[in-house]
Amino acid sequence: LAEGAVVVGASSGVGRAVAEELARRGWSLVVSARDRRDLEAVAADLSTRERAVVRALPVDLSDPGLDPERFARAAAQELGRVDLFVLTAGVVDEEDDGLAAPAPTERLVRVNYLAAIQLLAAFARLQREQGGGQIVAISSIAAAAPRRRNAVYSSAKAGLEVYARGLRHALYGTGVRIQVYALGYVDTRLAFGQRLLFPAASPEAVARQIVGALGSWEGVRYYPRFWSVVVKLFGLVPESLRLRFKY
Amino acid sequence: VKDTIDCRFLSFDGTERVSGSLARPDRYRQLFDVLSRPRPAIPRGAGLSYCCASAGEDVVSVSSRRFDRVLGLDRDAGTVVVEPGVTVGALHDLAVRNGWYPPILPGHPEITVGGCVAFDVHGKSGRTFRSCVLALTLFHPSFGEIECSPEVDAELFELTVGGCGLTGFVTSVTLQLVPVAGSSLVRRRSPVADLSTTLEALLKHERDHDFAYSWNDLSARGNSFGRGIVYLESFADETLRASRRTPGRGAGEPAGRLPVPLLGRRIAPIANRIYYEAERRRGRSRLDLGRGSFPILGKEGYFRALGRRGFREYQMLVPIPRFPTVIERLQAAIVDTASRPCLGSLKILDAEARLLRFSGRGVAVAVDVPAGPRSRELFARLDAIALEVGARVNLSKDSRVGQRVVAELFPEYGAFRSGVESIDSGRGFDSALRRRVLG
Repeated sequence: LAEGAVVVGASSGVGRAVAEELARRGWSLVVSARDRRDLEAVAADLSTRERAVVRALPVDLSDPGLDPERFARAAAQELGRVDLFVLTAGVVDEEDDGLAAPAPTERLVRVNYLAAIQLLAAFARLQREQGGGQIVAISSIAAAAPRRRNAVYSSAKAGLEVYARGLRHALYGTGVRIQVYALGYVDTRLAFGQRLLFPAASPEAVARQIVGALGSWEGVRYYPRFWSVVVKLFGLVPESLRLRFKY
Repeated sequence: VKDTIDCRFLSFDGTERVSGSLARPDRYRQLFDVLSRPRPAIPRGAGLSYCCASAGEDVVSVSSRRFDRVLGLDRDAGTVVVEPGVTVGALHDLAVRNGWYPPILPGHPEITVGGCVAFDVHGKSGRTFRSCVLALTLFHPSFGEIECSPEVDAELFELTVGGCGLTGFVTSVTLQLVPVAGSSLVRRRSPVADLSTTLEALLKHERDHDFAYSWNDLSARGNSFGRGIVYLESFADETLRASRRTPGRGAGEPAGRLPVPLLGRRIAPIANRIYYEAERRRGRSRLDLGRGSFPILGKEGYFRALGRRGFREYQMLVPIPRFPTVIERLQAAIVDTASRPCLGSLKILDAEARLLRFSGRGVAVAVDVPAGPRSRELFARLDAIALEVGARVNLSKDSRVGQRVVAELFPEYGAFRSGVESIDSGRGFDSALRRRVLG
């Protein structure tokens, strides 16, 4: 029997690549995202090409009326058992300079943090009841290196990482394991056209890493791995010096 | 987050440069948004057209690469619905795994289905892509998204197939596959003395083989002119271990090309002779389908060897009775301009001649030379030959043919132009090719 996974953020980028990689390895899937048409295209593609059992279940993390509990139950009903929950959905905002109006700030916090941890909690509960499972969430190097272009985004991702550490403690001994990837540059819409200091990883490479390393460690890790060195070096630069540069 | 970036585009033949923008939407919402802005746009697939067909000065090239999903496959009827960014390599693999085969495949697996529609490509087969397209969905900001087919909105359908991307952005393509006739390909080679015996052999074997085409040495002088190899391929039932399918580096990137052409006029005749002698001795070979279906796969080095200054290709579709005249004129043009083509090739095409498509019944003649003043002179002569015998040229392979020649060569030029203008009256879709050919 194929194992069941839920991927939230599956209409594009890393989420779509993870869904593809899972489908290729025989997982049954519930794919979720805001854009119904893209989601249905991804579901059709995976069920045709990989002959995987795939259901599209739209979800909008920016919707204040989101009911994470109900979404988790609906997904579980489709799959029978949710062995894996992957959360890749996230948004950035061009105006995220830390001085933005309440509405865009609320949206950034809601999608990247509030709805995210509510979903993680809902699936953690579900998996604890199941007697075990695996959770993967996506963070960013921005969490460790906030800057003037992503002040709210980076703080939301930092919040997500801290929450995940707390959740890991809470889940200790329950058979539910959590992995958080703090991703460096990835060749998705977020990095498109940016002048980057390092080459961007392909979403497919990230997906192979995520699926290949399922259950092999717990906690928060950088990917690609060299970013842990970059972030450490960055931390060694005195703040007073860092502030003088516009990056 | 930016959704368009400034970009310099280089045609695949390396001779045409334009400054435009590139957008790479990954969701329909973003796609329709970028296409609905006032700035003219053009769909872009793999960017492997020899001219700037999917780019233009101040035009936004809208990449279809993230729209590469298979939307449905009827395993019994052999029909498949795909988004335009699906590559023909991916289409081929999916079809073969399910016992089907795409009847028309261009030479390289990285080419997208959207590109095949835009230029009604032919590849090794004698027919063109139009023959396997059952329906299209097309988005244009002026009318939104509509479905068209030979039955519904036929005019829009016909203008879009071979329409160079000027009628809108294709969002899905329904294709009819054919049952796969074997698990491998047998390729037979038979040497031929010149172009007229090549044509005889191709006509003779047109029906009894699945694919027939030739390679000819147009750099040889005197009686050796046009000697070559006729390739006859048939499906066979022998399972071979699949060979490596990753295309060589730089498949779509003229950047990796040598600073000076390796296949210039001094070396081309030697290289051609070596190739001829080697192929003549090879006889038969067997290829797995993944490799055999795409003759250019693994030969990307050829384009790099043509150098950074680029190369030019001329393709003309000659009515069969006029072919003897063409042989004579072609040889004279090559000798007079002291050209040494690095590639020559023939194949028989048999598809209804329509609009600006490279279609009709005739011999498709391809000639490659490194770019330069000599090639300009040679190609002006070839234009004259095409006009004399009424041979269509292949717009996707030609970065220089002008409006006057195209208007004269294609009887439906006026119909195509007014058709595109009525669909796209606000000129929301534009490219360097449109400006050169339609004005």
